[in-house]
Amino acid sequence: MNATIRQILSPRHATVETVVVQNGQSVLVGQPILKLDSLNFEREQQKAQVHLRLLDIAAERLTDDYLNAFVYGPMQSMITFRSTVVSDRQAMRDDVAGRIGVPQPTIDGAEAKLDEAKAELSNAVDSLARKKLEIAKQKLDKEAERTQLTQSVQFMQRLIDLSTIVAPVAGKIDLGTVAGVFVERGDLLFEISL
Amino acid sequence: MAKAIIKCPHSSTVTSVSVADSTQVKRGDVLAILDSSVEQDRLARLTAHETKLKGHLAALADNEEVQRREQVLQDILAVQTDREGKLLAVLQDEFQQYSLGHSDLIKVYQREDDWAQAKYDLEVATLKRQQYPKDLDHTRRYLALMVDLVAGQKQFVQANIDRMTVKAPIDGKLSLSVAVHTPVRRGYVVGEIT
Repeated sequence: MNATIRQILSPRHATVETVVVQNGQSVLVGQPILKLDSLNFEREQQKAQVHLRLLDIAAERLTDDYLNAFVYGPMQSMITFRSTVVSDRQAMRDDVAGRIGVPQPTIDGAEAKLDEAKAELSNAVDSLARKKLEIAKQKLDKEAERTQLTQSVQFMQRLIDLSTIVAPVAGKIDLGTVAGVFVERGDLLFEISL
Repeated sequence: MAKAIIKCPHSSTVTSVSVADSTQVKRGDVLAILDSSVEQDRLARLTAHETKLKGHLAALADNEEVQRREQVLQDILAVQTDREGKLLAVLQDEFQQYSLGHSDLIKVYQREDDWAQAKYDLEVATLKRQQYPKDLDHTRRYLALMVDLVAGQKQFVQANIDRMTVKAPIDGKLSLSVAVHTPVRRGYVVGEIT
């Protein structure tokens, strides 16, 4: 009586890492037969996992507490300082201009100093606004990167799982390869006689 | 009939052949060695990078000196702020007491600006001092992860180098298909064991 034979071919190029059944052994559906090396996928997964942890660390510098204290805080202090200078120079200009006998160049000088202080205040306000926009963009970028890396970890796990070749049907195994051999896509891994 | 067909896992050149054609080999015997200079070079570069990262990490351990310097800076700025405040008070006092002219008035306002600047500098230095230990901790963890990442890469490259040593997967009689200096592509048949 002729038995039906199913050939199982390698889905990709890889080294056969282990063979867990004996030649001629009867196996059940879903039983692991051999494992192809998955070093590439493990490496990629590990890389993505480390990058996720790096993102966690980076995220600590993007929390509101950190930003308010150490990023926006000094910039806000700069705005306060520049505002004080504007107020001082405003008062100085008014004081100088209100006095009798003050030469015009001195009044012009006070006016120029006030304009300069106003421009510096405006720059400080703009810098803070720009920084907030930049941080918002960074947060979005990091979030997108996190999603991509998480998907990559899951995808690599799927490929690692698929590196264990299982019996698609129950039957008797005839091995076409041995552990330690490099196989290409389409090379015979084993046959199952139903 | 071949029991095992031995194929090249990587494109390379055969640098040495360890056994003669038609000899009996045992499982694990080295059959041939492929040129791994590219991977060796990559490994050397990764090792250099790892050493550099570890050096940075070790340098961070010596942070007490940095913290002490930050403290000294803060102390100096505090003294400076105090001095500016006192000078301003003296000037304001003199101005009110002696009803001085407009040039002295300008000096008072300039001193107010200087005091505001000194207060701002002190505020920023204080924030920087608080930020330093947090940033140091972040950097330390970041570098430690980078060291892990490079170590993983090294492991992967080393595994690729190991694969350049072609070994017999089983016992048997070898039929060798390559010689020294033969350029081989991935999947090229090195030999067969029957």
